[in-house]
Amino acid sequence: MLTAARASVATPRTLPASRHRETGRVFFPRIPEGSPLADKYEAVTLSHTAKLYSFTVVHPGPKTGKSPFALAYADFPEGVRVFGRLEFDVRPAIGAALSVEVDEGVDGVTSSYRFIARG
Amino acid sequence: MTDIYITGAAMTAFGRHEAVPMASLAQKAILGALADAELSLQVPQAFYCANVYGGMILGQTLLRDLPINGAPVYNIENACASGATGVHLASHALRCGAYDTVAVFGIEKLTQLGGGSIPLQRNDYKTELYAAAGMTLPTVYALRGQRYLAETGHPASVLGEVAVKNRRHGALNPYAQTRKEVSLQEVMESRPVAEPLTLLQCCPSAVDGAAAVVLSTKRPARGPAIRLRASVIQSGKREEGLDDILDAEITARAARLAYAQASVGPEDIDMIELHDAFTIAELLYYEALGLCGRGEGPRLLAEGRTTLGGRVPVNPSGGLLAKGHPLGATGVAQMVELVWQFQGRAEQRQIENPRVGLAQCTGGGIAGVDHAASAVHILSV
Repeated sequence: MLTAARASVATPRTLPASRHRETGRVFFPRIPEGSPLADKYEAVTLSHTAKLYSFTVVHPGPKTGKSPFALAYADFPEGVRVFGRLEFDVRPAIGAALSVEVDEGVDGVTSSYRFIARG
Repeated sequence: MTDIYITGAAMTAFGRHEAVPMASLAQKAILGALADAELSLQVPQAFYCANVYGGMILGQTLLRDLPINGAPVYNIENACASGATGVHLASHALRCGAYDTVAVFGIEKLTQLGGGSIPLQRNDYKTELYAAAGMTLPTVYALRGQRYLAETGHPASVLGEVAVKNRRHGALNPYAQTRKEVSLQEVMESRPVAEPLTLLQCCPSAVDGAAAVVLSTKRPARGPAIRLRASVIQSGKREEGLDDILDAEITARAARLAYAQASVGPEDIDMIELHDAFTIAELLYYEALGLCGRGEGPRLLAEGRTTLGGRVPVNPSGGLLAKGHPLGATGVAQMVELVWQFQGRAEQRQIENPRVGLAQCTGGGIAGVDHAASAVHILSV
């Protein structure tokens, strides 16, 4: 189903996020550097693993010629929920463990990443 | 507080009106509402134009050929809640005495966009990122639907039952885009869009239409006096932490304020027009509006309590699912339906002697909040 779950990357990268200095709340994506609120946050990164909160398989219209793909909300141990692409071989259950793959060039604004559910 | 009355209401049929200019749709609704109120075009002291995708100074553009003699025109955009926001802002002006009679109209031509999911807001780093990953409004609701089914243990067919009900209602409404009853099997076997949602569980994306109401502080001389008892708009709070996506917090908050403003409770409401853009939304809004507790929506539906003939019919017009959802027009059209129901003009879908009605719609399109805006209005006779 969809694209096959990949083997673990050798050096897993992490998603960049921001932690509010007063409340300790973590936010994704990272607050932009140019934001007038930027000094209220410190840069942090998220864990390599998360938990599946919800997901859907999208079926693009037949005229598009595109294949189905999955999207998910992933809950991170830092207390933040992230939306993104989901890949799996076996359809996961809500609450399933996820690993996170992050592509090169992540800067918190243009990041490309995906969640991997391993059966 | 100054009483506000809806003294005129009209709308065009919702549907694909590719060949009809936007101005013609708007003017038809406005002239219809004014005729309904037995007023001339010169009477409204202001016009409120609600729209999402029509561009700048749309209201003035659509009204140019009408003799409104320079009356102020206000243009309002608040996503799917634009029309309701127009009514809300007009009510402010009436209550503070700036005007005594105004017209509010909502208009949209979604066929101009070419169909498909409507675009999300792109002037935001978070929404931009999520939209690039695949976030659309159907996927947001699909994620809610999947979580709802997992948490409650209900089968996916409970979502389909919402479409069956509203499309049954819509079949009775000559103003609805889709006037065909569907079976549960047809709903569940229609093309999957974003699991668990199938095509017949999504409101049509290519629809045009306009709706208008006349609001006045002057009590109408004839017919039932339909009062605007509550008008509430709330904005979404930034999601923090691991929010419960099944808690339609913004709508529950707006509803609480509206009930307090109108001095009524959910038990007093005789009919509801709500924002069923996708089937899961209706079940979540049952809870947010106080009709039932967590996960109890399917029981209300199964018992027929929200069906025509039930205790509190929901979406007697067919809702967004059947009537269609021309964004800027939707909130106003919901009120048009309530007015017609009060006046006994709803023909085959007529509710018996309604006294209090509620209209609810939400505006979405950005990541990081439950919704951008939620509107709740309560009307009564």
